[in-house]
Amino acid sequence: MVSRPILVLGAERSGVTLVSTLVTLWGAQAAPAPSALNAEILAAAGGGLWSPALADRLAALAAEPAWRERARALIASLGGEAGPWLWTAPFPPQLVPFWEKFIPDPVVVAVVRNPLDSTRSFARARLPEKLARMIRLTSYFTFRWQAANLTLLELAQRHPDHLFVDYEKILQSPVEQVRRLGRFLDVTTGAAESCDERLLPMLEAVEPGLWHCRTGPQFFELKQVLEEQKELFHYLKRRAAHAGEPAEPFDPARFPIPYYAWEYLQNFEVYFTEKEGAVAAG
Amino acid sequence: MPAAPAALFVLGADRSGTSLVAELAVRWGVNPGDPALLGTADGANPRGYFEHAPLQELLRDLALAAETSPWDPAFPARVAELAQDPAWRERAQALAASLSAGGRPWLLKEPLLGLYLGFWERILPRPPICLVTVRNPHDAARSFVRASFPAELSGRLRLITYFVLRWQVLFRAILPALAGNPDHLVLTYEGLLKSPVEQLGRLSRFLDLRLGGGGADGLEQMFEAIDPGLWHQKSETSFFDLEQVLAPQKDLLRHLERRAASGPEPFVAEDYPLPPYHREWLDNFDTLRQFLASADPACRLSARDLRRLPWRASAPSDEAEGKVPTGL
Repeated sequence: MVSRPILVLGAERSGVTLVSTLVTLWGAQAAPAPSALNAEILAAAGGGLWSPALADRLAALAAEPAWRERARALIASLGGEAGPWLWTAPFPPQLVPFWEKFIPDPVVVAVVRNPLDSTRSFARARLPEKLARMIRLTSYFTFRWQAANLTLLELAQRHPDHLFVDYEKILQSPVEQVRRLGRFLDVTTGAAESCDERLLPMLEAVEPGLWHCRTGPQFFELKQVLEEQKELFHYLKRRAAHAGEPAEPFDPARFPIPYYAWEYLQNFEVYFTEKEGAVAAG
Repeated sequence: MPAAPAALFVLGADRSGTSLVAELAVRWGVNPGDPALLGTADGANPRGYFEHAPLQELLRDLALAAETSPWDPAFPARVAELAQDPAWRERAQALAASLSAGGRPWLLKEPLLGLYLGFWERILPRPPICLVTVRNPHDAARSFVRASFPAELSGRLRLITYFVLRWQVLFRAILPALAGNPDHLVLTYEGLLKSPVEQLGRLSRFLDLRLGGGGADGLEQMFEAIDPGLWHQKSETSFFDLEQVLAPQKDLLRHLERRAASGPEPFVAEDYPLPPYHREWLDNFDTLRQFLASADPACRLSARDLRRLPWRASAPSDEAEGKVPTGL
């Protein structure tokens, strides 16, 4: 097996942890996400994840010798004889434009989940209960979800070895979906042995009881969600259902993030994330 | 029996010159109420706010009773319905009676007052005379951030889009309510500071005609209130060039500027649609602000804010959003 990096990425609360577990059970070695270095990179690129200019800034940063040296040293330490290695959450997809300069041939596994389910899960995971009762995050989180997924679709355009997996489908049809994932990893990493023997432990990791916050088709009925976002979710579902090359090419112009959304995301970052301790105390 | 003194309402978004226009009206001769109840001046408004504390408390309590967010487009109608409730009528009429007791025209000024015009129309014996203040929303937004947050936060928050939404909701409530009320005048903050002679003449003539009295003394006193040194936050970028501002919002400012220059023209709220995310954003801003205030001394709310903001223990009614709670 070649020592090829595998990136398992998705919007927050989208089942990335479950899929990462499946990929490690398949045989990849999980490498810790470079959270401290990522924070430095983000600070050097302007300080926040929510800017339409972030990808360009990250690409420029990756060309600077000092950053290049640090990134290359880290990547070199992750390879070796142990086989494919894995980077996953907490790794914001938006930072990929920096790292892909140093891992030119990643295998990409993109996890897709109903954004309304993820919104609810995000609220449960991140907000104190009192605040969660008072606040609505559908529009806010859907912009976050949109930004993450557009980054992943762009990444997939540049890297042919990618697979979109549907979190709901994994829980509904684990045998079929786990086999699909295992075989994709076998092929893209040039595995000497079939994954068939490892399918059972992979299947045992899928616990439908962990599937919370199921909202079904409500997302498509919400007034506060943009038509472009509903269409993006449809498109991602089609990509996840399709095997091999996409029959429907990705056109980012179909799913634009409105300019005003960045301000909403940026303010939340300042007002909520940076004050998370105070919010939790409140 | 002599007619009750007229009510004068000063309307407009926050940080748009409503305090200046209220001061001008007071200098002309309108009664703003007991000075002890008008709040205190501060660094953001060194000449005072002219906001009657019992009015702010009434509006806050009405907002809580309306059981929907002030940023719900249905809010003005919901709160207007409360005017049929004897308890609310009695409280509002007592407030009006206290202000008109001196026999002079009396003043109500509060930036959120525009959301309550339907309520007051059902309370007062005749529609209020209204002064509508318009300022470049970009400048007003910058001023709003500086006035509302500690320096540690205000330097990093970008609230242009937020504030313009707030401004849009307010004017979408104010302008339809004025459609049947010819006794209103639209003034621009910039016009008052750039051309005070012309604009104060216009204002005093309007007040003289509607309220009687006034005269040269009033006009002279009004001139003394104009201090171009207080005109801060003049942005170099035109509002019409801002990328984060939506086309209907730019059209709305054009509409208001035309009305300030040429007088009334028809207003159709549907021509200035709100974007689908507007209510979530406006609600969350208020909620987070209040939540943080309870935990972080740097974000403490002023006494003015505490009088103004409806504090809820749970999210208000969600009918307009499809009954989908997104928290727990």
